[in-house]
Amino acid sequence: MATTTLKAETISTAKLSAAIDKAVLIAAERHQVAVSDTNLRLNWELVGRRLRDAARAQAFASDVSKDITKNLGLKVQPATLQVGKLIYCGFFEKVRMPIERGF
Amino acid sequence: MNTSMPSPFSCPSAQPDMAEARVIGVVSGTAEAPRIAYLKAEAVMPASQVSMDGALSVSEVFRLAARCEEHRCSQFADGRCSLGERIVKGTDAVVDTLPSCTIRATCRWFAEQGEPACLRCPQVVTLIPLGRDKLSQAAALPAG
Repeated sequence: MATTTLKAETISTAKLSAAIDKAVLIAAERHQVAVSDTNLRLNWELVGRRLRDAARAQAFASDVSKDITKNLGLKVQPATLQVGKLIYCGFFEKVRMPIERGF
Repeated sequence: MNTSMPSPFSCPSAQPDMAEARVIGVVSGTAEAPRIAYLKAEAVMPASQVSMDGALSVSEVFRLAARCEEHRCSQFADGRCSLGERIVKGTDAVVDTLPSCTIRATCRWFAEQGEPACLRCPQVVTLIPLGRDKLSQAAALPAG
């Protein structure tokens, strides 16, 4: 008589990427959220300065970006980034954003 | 008792910010009946190497192990992991052979509950949507 054994699945390094893609789809369905269909790692390189005044940071970033575009001809995106208590403001170069890397 | 000594046991259902957190499995199966696919030893990776893009958390996609936090964990009671005990008492076995798991030698659930914990372990997903299934009920801390 044939018997069926229920075994837990195992994953090797070679199959890990496909397993992660499947896990993301399952989690998105379980938690009812929409996710992009590829894995992304976004490398953002903010060029700018550190400020203490968050209220003025975006205006500073916009002014700097306008000057960069006007004087250097670069297409940039003004941006403010707060990490904990640190406030960074400046710009992203549009040709550098975003870098998508599959994994 | 010297409480400064780190626990010799591993938590088999951990969060990424815990000490020695590492990915030991990936959620597989289906949305209705998720099952953990256990990583072979060569594929185990530190949780710090994993990042999600915002819509999902690491614990929703991966199964993590870490050093057992003992008294700092709400599941720890009377010197044991109450979650492991409730998993064994409150859920059915989903496999009939021991999973190929990389942490059994140090797993607190295995140390305290033995093989019955391992036979139920593949259905354990660390973050579970609210529901009335057996796993949700077993995972919930008792009132009081």
